Amino acid sequence: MMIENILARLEPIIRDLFDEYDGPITGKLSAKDVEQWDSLANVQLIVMAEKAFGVRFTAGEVDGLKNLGDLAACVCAKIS
Amino acid sequence: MVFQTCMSWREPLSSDWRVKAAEILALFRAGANQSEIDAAGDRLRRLSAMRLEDGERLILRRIAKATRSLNSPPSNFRAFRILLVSNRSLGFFGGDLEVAGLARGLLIDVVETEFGAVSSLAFDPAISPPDGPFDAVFLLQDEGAFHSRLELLDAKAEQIAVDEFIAKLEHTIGALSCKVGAPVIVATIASSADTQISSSDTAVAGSKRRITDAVNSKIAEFAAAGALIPFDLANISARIGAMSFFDPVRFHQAKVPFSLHASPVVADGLAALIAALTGRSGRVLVLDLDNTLWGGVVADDGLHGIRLGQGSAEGEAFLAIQEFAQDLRRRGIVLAVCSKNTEAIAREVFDEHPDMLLRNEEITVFVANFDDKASNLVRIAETLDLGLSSLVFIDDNPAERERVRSSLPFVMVPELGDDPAEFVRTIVASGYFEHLPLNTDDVRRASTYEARTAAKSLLETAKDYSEYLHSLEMVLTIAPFDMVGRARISQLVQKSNQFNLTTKRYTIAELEAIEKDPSRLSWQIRLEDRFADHGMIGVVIVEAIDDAWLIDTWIMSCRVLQRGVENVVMDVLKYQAATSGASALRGAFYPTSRNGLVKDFYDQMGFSLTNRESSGASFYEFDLHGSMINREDYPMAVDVKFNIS
Repeated sequence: MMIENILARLEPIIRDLFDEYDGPITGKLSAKDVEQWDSLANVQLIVMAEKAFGVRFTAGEVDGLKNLGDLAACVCAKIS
Repeated sequence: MVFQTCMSWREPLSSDWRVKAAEILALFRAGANQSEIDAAGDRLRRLSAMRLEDGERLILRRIAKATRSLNSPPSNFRAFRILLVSNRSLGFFGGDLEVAGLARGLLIDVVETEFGAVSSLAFDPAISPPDGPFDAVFLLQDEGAFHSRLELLDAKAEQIAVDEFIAKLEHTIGALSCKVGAPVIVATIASSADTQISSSDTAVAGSKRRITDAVNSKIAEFAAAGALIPFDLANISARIGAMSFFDPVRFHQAKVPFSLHASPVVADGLAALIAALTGRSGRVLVLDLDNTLWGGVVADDGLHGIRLGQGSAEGEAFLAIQEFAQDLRRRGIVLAVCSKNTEAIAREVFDEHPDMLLRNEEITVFVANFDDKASNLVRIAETLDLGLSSLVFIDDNPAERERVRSSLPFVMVPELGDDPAEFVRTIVASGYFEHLPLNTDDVRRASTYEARTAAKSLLETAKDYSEYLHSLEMVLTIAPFDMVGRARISQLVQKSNQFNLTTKRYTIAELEAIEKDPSRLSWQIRLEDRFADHGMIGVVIVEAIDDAWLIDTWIMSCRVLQRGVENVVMDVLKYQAATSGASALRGAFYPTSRNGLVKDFYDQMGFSLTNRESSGASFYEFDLHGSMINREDYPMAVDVKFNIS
């Protein structure tokens, strides 16, 4: 699956989590762009992504995620 | 069946869930009149009680928040403010708890203390909790709250560690209930999947598993003594499975004590306990018959054609359901039957089938006819004098369940799946029958309801009401508060809504202070009749100071309405006040959404209205000069357990 497809499937999750954010969903999107994206929401985003794609991130991978693109790339590596 | 975390007793998510939720959110944010808000509240409760995914739960968190911000929230929701205290982070859990509350008609407002604030709250007198008032405190600690690693096989060191932890726990509970002024709910400690290294850990002194077990049995002991309300987190972990319950990545990442998948299940369990604490648990198990209590249709298959009893897996599964119903009955749950059947044919199974466990006399209300089940449920609730929200309806037929759910939104209707072998665990997991540590009144309750139903049929044959009351051979006992009665007194004070003049919710500690205060008179009232011991059915607290005594609290159980009990108690009170030298008795009525039943109480008791505020609060007085009591007229014997002046 392409990164773009993964981002598209992450979009409804982002919209549910951050209902006050209505900007574009790109790989560059990160916590500093979204006010509601605090540490709790970050954990929740990871868990929702795990569920949506049926994958599990390691503790090391979780530490390395800096933006949505990283998350999508990590998913991509696991499912392809 | 994969139980895990799907909450299988809930109805599936409807396809228009998000549309309906958005409508409710918009309505609450824009504001609306009370009847619109109440109707939206009913819709919200049903939506919240479906099998939610993460996205729906996020939406419900926002709706819960908007609901709490309303000037006047839906009247069918009960507000409940809770303080979470933990050595771990309960940020997620708090949101899940607010969402879980909605499904049980609770508007829970969660306040979380700072991560790890347990010790400072408990031991530092300068640290005060967040601004109250709170209805309860929830204390959750995990194995990390224990002392650091002990030497193994050092039984003495283990004992010291356990004693220290228990002393700290006891102190924490005491300090929390004192600083916050609310009952403390304490979670048992779930044994982690990572710390029990060997099968023999329970036999190795100093292992975490042994300390966990010792702490949990102490929590149970405190609970039995009424010092705390237990929440069995260890059992929830076991039900889900420790491997899914604990999530090491999330723990290392954010110090959450259990996985985010387990969190909504734990939250639902705690919401069920809060429902029990606020009198919202099921009190009646209403059972369908064909394919619910036995396999097959008795009217078609005949008495000996139905599948029940030893020898077949299916027959034994139905026996297990009957055994479960009997277990509930021993906890004070009333059993009722609601079946589309000819009554004689249905009853014959109870009387004649050799494998039938449940007996006719264990079923308090037996309704078998071909009327609509929703109207039969209304009839059952009326016969028992209980609200529809006390009923849990068990029926294998999805159409009947749906019909009841949509016409009687307050009846609890678990989904059951296709296999009767799974029914019992599904009903248990639903938490609809959650309860606090039982007292003797609770375990007697089912037989009390049977007695009341018997008394009702007596009423139908008695010539007039007064003859009927006399024929009940009632004995009323009025006694001062004491330690034995305290748990039940507190239950009445915390939970009674209808026959409650002032709705003052005193804590156990406050009740103890009232008991010891010589300027206050505090009575517990019990009633027995020829059919049953009804246990404690009333609480009266009076400020017996100065010339005019003030009735601070007057609560009666609706189980004994129309028995003339309140008239007798009031006469005794008038007599006691008059002979103590008081010249007047005063009373107040503070209206709530639930106590309309007693708005004219003081008028009926011969008091005169002295003032009525715009809020509806009304104040009354009774002039004691020349009042007298005349016991001969009472339809009951009166046993007064204090020195009457």
